[in-house]
Amino acid sequence: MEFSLYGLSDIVLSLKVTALANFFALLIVLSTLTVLFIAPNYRLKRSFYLLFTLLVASLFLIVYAHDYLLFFIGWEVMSISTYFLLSFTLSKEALHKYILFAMASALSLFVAILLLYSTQHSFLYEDAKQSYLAMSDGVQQLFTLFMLIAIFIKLGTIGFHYWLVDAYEESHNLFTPFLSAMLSKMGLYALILFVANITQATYVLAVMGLLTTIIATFKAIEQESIKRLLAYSSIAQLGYIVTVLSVADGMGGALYHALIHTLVKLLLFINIAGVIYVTQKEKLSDLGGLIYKLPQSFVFLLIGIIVLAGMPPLGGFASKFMIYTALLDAKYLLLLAGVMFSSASAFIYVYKLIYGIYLGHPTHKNLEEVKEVPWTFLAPQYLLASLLVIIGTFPGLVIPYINRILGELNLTLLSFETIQTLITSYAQYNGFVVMGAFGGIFVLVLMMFMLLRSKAKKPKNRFDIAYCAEEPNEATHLHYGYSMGQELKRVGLIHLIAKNSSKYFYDFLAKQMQYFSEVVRKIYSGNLLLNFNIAVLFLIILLLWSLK
Amino acid sequence: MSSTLFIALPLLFGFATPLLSRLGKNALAYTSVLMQLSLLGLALSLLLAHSSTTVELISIAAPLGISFVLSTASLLMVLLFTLLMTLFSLYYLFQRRANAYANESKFFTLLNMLLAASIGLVLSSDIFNIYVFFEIAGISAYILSAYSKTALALESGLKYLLTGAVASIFLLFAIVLIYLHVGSLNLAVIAEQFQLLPYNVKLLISLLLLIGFGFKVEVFPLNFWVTDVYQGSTSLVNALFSGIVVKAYLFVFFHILYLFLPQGEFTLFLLYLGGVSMLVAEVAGLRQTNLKRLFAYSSLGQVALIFVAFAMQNIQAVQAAFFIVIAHSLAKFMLFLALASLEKTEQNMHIDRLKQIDSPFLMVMMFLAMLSLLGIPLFVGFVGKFLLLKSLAVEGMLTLLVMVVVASFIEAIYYFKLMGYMLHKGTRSEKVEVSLGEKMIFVSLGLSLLLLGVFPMSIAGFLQNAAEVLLDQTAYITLLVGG
Repeated sequence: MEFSLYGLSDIVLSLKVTALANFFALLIVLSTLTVLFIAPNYRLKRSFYLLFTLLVASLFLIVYAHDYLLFFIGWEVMSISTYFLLSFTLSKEALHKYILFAMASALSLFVAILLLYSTQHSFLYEDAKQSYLAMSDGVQQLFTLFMLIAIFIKLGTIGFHYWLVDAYEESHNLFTPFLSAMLSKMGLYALILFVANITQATYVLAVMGLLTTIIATFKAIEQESIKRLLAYSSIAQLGYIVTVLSVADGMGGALYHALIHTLVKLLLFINIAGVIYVTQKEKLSDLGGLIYKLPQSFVFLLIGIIVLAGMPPLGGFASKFMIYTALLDAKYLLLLAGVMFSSASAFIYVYKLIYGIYLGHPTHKNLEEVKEVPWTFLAPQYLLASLLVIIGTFPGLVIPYINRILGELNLTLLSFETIQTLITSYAQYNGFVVMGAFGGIFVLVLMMFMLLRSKAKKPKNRFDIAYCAEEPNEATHLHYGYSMGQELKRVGLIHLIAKNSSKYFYDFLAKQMQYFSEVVRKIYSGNLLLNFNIAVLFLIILLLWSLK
Repeated sequence: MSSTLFIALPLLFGFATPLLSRLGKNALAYTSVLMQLSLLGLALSLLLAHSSTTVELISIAAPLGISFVLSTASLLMVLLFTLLMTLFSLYYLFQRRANAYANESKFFTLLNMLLAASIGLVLSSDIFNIYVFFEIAGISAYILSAYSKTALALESGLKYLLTGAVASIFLLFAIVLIYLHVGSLNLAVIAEQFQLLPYNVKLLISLLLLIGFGFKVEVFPLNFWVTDVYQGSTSLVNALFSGIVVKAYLFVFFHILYLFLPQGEFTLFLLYLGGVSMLVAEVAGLRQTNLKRLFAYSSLGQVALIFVAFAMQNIQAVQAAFFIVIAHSLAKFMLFLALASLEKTEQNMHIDRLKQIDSPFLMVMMFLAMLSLLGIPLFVGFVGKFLLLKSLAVEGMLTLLVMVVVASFIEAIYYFKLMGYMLHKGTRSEKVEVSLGEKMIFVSLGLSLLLLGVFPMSIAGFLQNAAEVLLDQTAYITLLVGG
């Protein structure tokens, strides 16, 4: 569907239903529905729902737009409506930080699409490649720079993630799943459009993606707050996708991982929203031992972290598998090693997550009265977890849909035989068999556990710790999660990562800007004598310039 | 004869105010609204009745030597001015009970002189008449700025007077030079012969005009007085300054420029002048904590943006300029009226006060205006900025494009700081009364920002027509001098 805007014949806009757009639209629908499911637990203002509707509408505009102008309009409306949605809970500093980065992203996208327009006088996706090729070298680089800045800010790629972590941590528990699952995906959507329609930008994406996964993984390990930990994990997961998009055949793995990441981040953030709802605590060190109180939530978090770590029986493995083979295929071995390294390191933070919340010995007494979370929290988790299990069992299930997108983008298709197997050029993986084996072992272990469970009574008092050489009191941190991961800081490189260098950089930038403003402001200090002198000086310069 | 009415009627009303004020306590406010409404109706009827480019040409013979041209372009400006003035009179009427101006009849005299002079600037086709209206607008603005008689107000009035006097000296000198070399004061005659003048004379006249008008169109570095004037004047008056007066000067400056230099000899220079003005103004505003001063900086930035758009001197950019003129006039008018509503109870205009104010209605309205000023899509501000930047990109002026975008980003920094203050969570102690009538004015302004932003095509054709007319030098000469 094509139409023109502003009564100007030279601007053609278009909305189009494509397989790629449908894929992302499906994710939007899924996220919106699951998030709205938990909404009745919170007393929210009517304006919240109004803004949320506007946000979802803008997301649909972004995915179904077929030209960069409508895309940009959707992008800006998304940023602004998110701003007002975040303003319900965010502190002033975090909110200002968010909007400045969002505006920087929007304005650089604006410059980029105008540069694209300047050569072929068209915003349409079809003409983007032509427009890009018609630019001079310098303008091409300028265009790529602005486009990637816009995308990286939305994705929270390392260096551009300064706004993201605070925004995730302080946002409303209802809204965080949506932020992580959906809004960052819009950055991904823009990146896919850029890679597929315009140019691959191989090295930038590879380096930025790899740095993002490694740094964000180690930042996640040292976090105390659950939502911060998951925010960094989100950054790292998107880093995998950025990395794999840098290789020619990475699109399939990227889309697969985008799907898995959306599902798992919805699951995890809804899970911890439930935990925070019943305990009112957001720090790992304040929680612990909740497995007895919230057994169902525990199982869902377990499923979530298995997916997040990319371990075999569930969906997370399938997408990681595709990412690895794509990198191997392209002979980017160093990249592959880096991604595997950070993927393995991710075990530490996912373990910290589940241990901190559900296992160990709680520090706080009042956790003993906690009950299981309301069913409105559990129902969406059942849905998401079963989707993840199904994808794990039948990893080939989504391949035909991904192939349709790849066919549309003129990329090589993935091979597909049955829905149980995932085939790449190196190996074949049968999810059904793996799931069966794991399921069998799990049942065996569970039976042995039930039979051999010790008959010893559970201690009545939580200070009653037999093998503790000291006598703990209320102030003692009983929970190991209190300082888990801190010891890693002794490693030189990780210490460097933990130093918050982006904070120093942006603070420095802000301070310089303020000094500069302070100097420029002197022009407007109201001293007429000074002003007239400046004006006369200006006049003389003007005269010299024009007589030249 | 209708175009003379636009000037004669406000002047007549202005000088009749002492008589009208005798009729009763409210007579002046009501008759003022009535008069503005009739002017608006006249402008609208002209708009609907004439589809051709030239609406009207009025020449009064030699001894008086007055001639007016009401083209599509000037009709657009007249329409904007009368519309804003009508809303202004209505707003004044509604909030008058709480905060009537001392010595109301003088206030109305000055107000109507300002309107008549602004319209006169836009319509005149004679450079000496332009000078006369330039002075009338100046004088009424000086007095209005000092009207509240506080120390700050008097300072601002004095500064305004001094800089205005300097500006008019330069303008007068330019006119003298023009008359010396061309022997006529008619814009069309000058336009015809200006190209034939020796280069040095052309350059000197252009420079003198640039400096003379430079003060009034608030271009760097001649705009130092603006922030002080905005801080000293009441918000109500500021709404007029940024909504009407500066737009009239901008229009007439570029009108003269297009006539004298149709080839655009100084385009590049003016473009960068505008770009630098915008950057300097936005950077200077970054740390400002007084609301009125802050909006003054923002006005400087926006006016510089309009300056850039007009200086491009092509149809797309001038169309964009008209869009930004409309967007900025409506949004700034709205913001200053909101400040005027706050000013009713207390003079303090520190930005911290925004944290205290308990009036969701005013907040929402200010949000709308600010988002439009920032050029967020769905608001009319976006349309203008988009068309301008598109034109810059197509012409290959990438440096300027980046300059404008960086300046917009800096503007976003302080506007979102304000919004952060307004969204501040905490107890809000200060109630602000906004009457139903005031609300209607705010809502109609806010709605027009949104509607024009979503359906810009409703006025795009008209604005393009206006841009074509404004840029068409030969048609103007033919009209006034004949083939």
